[in-house]
Amino acid sequence: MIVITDIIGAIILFITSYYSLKAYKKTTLKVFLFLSLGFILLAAGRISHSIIFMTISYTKPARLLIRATSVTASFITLFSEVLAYSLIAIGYSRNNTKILAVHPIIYIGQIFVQTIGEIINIFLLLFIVFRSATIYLTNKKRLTLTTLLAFISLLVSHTLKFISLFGMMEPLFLLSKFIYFIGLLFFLVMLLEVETAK
Amino acid sequence: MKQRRSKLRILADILGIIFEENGARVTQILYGANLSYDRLVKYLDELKAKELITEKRDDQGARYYLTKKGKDFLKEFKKIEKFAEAFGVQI
Repeated sequence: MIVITDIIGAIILFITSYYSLKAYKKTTLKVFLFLSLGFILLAAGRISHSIIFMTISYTKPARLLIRATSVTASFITLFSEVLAYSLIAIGYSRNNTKILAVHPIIYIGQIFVQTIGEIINIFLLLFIVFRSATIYLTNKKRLTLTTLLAFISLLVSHTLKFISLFGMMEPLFLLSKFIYFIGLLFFLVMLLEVETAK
Repeated sequence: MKQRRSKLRILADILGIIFEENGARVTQILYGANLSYDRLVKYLDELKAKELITEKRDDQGARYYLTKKGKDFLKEFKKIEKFAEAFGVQI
């Protein structure tokens, strides 16, 4: 299920990136280039994450390898997200237990890096949400509200993911995934409105 | 304070007027696009060179029409304008 939402989400993000790139080519405004790079990185993160997890579920490798691969996948996604939100923010400013017992340091290190990464993501998204809220309050248009709701959903999703890191709360982690997907659906609504513009 | 229009916006405004009027004369475009005569002539020449508009002459002078390429350009611009609006970017 997570893999399916990852793939659908990546498609939405790819389309958003494509529109941003198209807007950059026509207008040469750098904000669109940053948005395009940001969205393509988010999409690449989702795709690499789902490819790695699909490979694990089909090949069924040793548990240690599963652990190492899932850690790598999480880092790739996290790194791409931090970079992606940084680019979008720049754009906006211009506008297993056994393994755990064997490798506690690696596990703690992973939690530490993920925590730092999520904190960065949350702060970047706070900035993005603040900017898009200001834009919405200025023009009060439905389209800007849709974009604002998309970024708010991503912010809520990352906040829930951050909280779930401490308590090992799987339902909260799954909820964060679901809210992330809702955020991407808001982007899809925005894109559909753009496509039907007259 | 009113923002300065980009060249792309001016060209789209001209094309928009021609489209709405289903073929427009210079005076109609001048009035609608809010440009000086010299600047408008320059932009019309550029649009003709890019094959976005065509000029047809009759007794009353020249009348400008959108080409298929011009209509596609305008349609594409509207989409980009709408996308930019979603992120609060003014073109």
